[in-house]
Amino acid sequence: MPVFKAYFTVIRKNVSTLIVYFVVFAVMATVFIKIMGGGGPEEFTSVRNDIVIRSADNTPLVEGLIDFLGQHANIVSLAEGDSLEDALFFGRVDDVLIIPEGFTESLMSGGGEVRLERSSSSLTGSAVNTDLLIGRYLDLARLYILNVPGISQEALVTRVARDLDNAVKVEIAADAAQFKAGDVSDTFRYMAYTIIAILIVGVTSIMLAFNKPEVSLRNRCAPVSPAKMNMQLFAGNLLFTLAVWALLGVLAYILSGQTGIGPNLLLLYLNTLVFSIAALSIAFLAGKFIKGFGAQSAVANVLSLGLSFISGIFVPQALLGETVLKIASFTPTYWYIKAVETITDLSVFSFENLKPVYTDMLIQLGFAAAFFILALAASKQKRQSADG
Amino acid sequence: MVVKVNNLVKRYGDLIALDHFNLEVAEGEVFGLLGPNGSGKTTAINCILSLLKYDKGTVEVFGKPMRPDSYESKRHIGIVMQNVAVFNELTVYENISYFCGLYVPDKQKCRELVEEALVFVGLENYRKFYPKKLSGGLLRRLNIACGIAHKPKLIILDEPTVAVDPQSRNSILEGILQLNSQGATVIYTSHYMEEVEQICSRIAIMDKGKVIASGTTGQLKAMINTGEIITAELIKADASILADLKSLPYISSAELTGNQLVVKSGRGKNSLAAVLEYLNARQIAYGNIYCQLPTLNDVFLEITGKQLRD
Amino acid sequence: MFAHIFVYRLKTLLRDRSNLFWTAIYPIILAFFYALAFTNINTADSFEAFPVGVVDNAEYRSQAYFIEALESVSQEGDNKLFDVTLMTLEEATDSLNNNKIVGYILFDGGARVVVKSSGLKQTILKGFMDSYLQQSSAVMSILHDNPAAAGSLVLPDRGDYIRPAELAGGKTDVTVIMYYGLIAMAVMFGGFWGRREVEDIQADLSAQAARINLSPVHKLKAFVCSLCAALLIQIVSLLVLFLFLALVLGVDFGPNFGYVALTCVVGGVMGVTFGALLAALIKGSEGLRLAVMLTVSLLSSALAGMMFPTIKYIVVEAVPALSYINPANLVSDALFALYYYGPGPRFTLNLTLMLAFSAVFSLAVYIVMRRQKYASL
Repeated sequence: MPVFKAYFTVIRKNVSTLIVYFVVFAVMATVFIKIMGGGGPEEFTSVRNDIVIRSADNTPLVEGLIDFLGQHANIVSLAEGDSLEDALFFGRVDDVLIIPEGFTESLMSGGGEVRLERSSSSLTGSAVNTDLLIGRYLDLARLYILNVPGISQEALVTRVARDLDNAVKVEIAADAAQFKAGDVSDTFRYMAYTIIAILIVGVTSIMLAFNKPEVSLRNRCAPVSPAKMNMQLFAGNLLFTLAVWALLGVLAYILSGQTGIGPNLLLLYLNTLVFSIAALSIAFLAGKFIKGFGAQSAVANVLSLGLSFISGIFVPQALLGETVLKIASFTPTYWYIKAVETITDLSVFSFENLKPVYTDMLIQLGFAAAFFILALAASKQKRQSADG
Repeated sequence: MVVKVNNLVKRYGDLIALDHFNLEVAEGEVFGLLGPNGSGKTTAINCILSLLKYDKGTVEVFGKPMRPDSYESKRHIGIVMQNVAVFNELTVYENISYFCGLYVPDKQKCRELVEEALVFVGLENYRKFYPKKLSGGLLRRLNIACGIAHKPKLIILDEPTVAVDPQSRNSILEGILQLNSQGATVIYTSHYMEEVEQICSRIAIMDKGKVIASGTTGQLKAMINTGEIITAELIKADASILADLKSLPYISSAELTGNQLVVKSGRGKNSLAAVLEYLNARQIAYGNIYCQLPTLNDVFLEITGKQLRD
Repeated sequence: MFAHIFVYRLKTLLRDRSNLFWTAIYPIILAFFYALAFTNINTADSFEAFPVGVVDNAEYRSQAYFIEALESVSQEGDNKLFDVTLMTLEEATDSLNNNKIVGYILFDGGARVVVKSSGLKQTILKGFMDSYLQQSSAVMSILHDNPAAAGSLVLPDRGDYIRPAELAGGKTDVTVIMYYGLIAMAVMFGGFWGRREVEDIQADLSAQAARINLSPVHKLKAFVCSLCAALLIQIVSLLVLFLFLALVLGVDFGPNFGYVALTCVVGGVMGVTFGALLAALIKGSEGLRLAVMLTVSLLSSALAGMMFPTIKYIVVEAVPALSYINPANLVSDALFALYYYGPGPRFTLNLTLMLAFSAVFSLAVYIVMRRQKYASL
């Protein structure tokens, strides 16, 4: 099968570019997992914000509040001279709490005119957590202030502290998913970017080599029927896609620290396989229009990044605007990401639950079919205009 | 002397590229530098032009030492290099205009020179073309135009006809003669002996970084023992005749390759008649028979034992 | 002579489609994608109520206060935390496993919360329950001391204790850092022009350069004239990118457009000279130079916060010196300083360093290029 062999020779020539993308994927996944850090469900841990507190009102009540906050969040102290604004802006801390002078007094007198000032980082979006914590403490305090007139601050703090010892028991449901959902979800999301980029580079390299006018003419003169040749090319494409899928799958497994393969992981792999086929069809279609190696890297970059941005790979789907999501829904990447996010949350694999996942996968296959047909139509068009 | 090179030595590590290379080119000559690939022609040219560092020796151009900052000398030199040196992003016209402008600051004069250059190389109809769209021959013509537009006094061409169609090749060779008749001194390097023989007034043959022979065509051919080469296509090959042929007077060698008989005879003697006589006497039938004067390849072959082009 | 070389060089470079794409067009495309992805990111902060189940058993029904408290956070309004559904225990387990609810509340010899994982929503659910239990405990301790107060107990509404404030004049749009990082990347990509400049003047790198070296024009003069053309193109590209970001995409640069433009100009010089230096130092194939240039540009831009803002801060914390050595970071930090603090010492420091770098790069290129004869071609 000479064409088949030639296919992989061309791939080998371009292996360095392909390796670059693999490396980028590995680095991306590792870095983001380290920084964002998914949570594990082994036991329930509350989300703890990183808070910086600057207090101008040093009263027992405020101390009590700070104490309480310290139990449910990380109180961070910045080094002298470190900019508060920078830390907040870049998301190093989640909230900055400023307690102005006279706060306690205003609270104790029941008026409550003086309020705390909170600045939160828009990167992390968990300001509501801090608000609720503060509210909880101060609501309790006010309860006492209103119903035990003349209560001293010390007594207040003590009693509130005692009440705060009550806590609800939290259990993790027995059937909870057994893997680190966060890391896996992120890893499989970034994989889509890499898959598109690698497939475009690989497939278009082949097509550039085979579509050179001299080569193409030579092929047409060979005693192998064009159908057979196309089949071998197709087989080559398929094998290449499968190899990329398998390699990335293994990488993802290692990077997200999995141990053992559960149904979630299997579904994720299936989803990724389906997506790879869709990506192959995109690469195939793109290849019809790429004329040179300069264009190849431009298209590979722009397409992969573009699809990634609008479909929720770098910015999660939950944070994307509606219009963007609408546009993205015309690309297979959007449905891939949607499926990934659904799958990682699943713990009961009933047909009912899997229906949306299967639907997403079918939609991706639909895109694949559509792109393939478009590509075939485009090449027929080209051949006819070249011959005629 | 327009160009005077003395004992040029250039080493690449252990490899000696130029081994005491000497050269003298007088004004008005078309000087040919002939040698197989790897003999050091391009290296010599680059050293002469002060592009390449050399280890020993001196180079003088226009009577002055040649250095990278010899701008006055450079103003009167034109070069046509082996690699096509034009910008893909500029049209034919723009390329010539740009390079000419580096030599001739006067804009008006430059414009005239560019037009003349276009006509000279026959690219007037291609002035708006981009290099990518030109065939090999036309590209070489552009390369030449960029090198000579400013009407230099010394023109150096390094293998300008590699991979060029016969029509372009002929026009290039004619063009060089024309430039020479207009007063330019030309140094022409090549491994195509026919070209060198055709246009060069004096030739130096190079091998392994040294000049192994130099002189006019006639002088070079006189250096070897072969005066005539007789080739005959025999109908039936018969190796036994070789010994006899060799014993004929002035015959230096006789060889049979397939059906082709090649007989070399000594200088100046017309041995064709003798060979014909012999063949007829032995009733050996032959088809084509022709005789030639030795070529430069034969000169090279005799001196070095190798072919010029392998 | 200057005009001649400058004009022809300008023509040549403007028709160099590949370099033009990567330095002028690609950043704009990328910016466009950023804008698409970020349309909602700053408003997505608002909290949305999530579904919670409550097991409807006898013990639950006996908790009058709890039912009231639950209602107060499940009704439409600013205080809404949950979408509550009453269900049986089996239904609750089922719903949780099928991700229909975030968790459920069960009264079974005390209050319990069952969830599937740890996250913000689960934390809020727990927080609500804790709050309820703690308030109950407070009420009970008050009544314990003063049973008579049962009738006149004042239950305060959820208090409004917090005023969201903004530090340093209201700048909370973090996405600007990514745009600044994008500009930094475009600055670094200017190195492609620098690379081309060197390749077209060093005779051992291209045939065109050899021809130029053999002309009567002083090599350095030719180089500087050509470089001016490259600088012009790069500076214009950067300014266009800046204006595109500011005027079309509405990225906030603060009110100091003039200083931003200045940053672009200096950045342009720095990037191009940086590329020239890299090209002058790296012998070998064109592919190698390209790969090094690409890697260095992308890496330095990434560290400057182009892909994820927090990285920039982490770098500053971990290796402060690095943030001043990384040319890309100088650019993004200068822009950040302008945005956040206005033209002050931080901005000046960055700009000065950028100028210094440009000078150093230029000097280094000059030294390397003075070599006029080559060991091999």
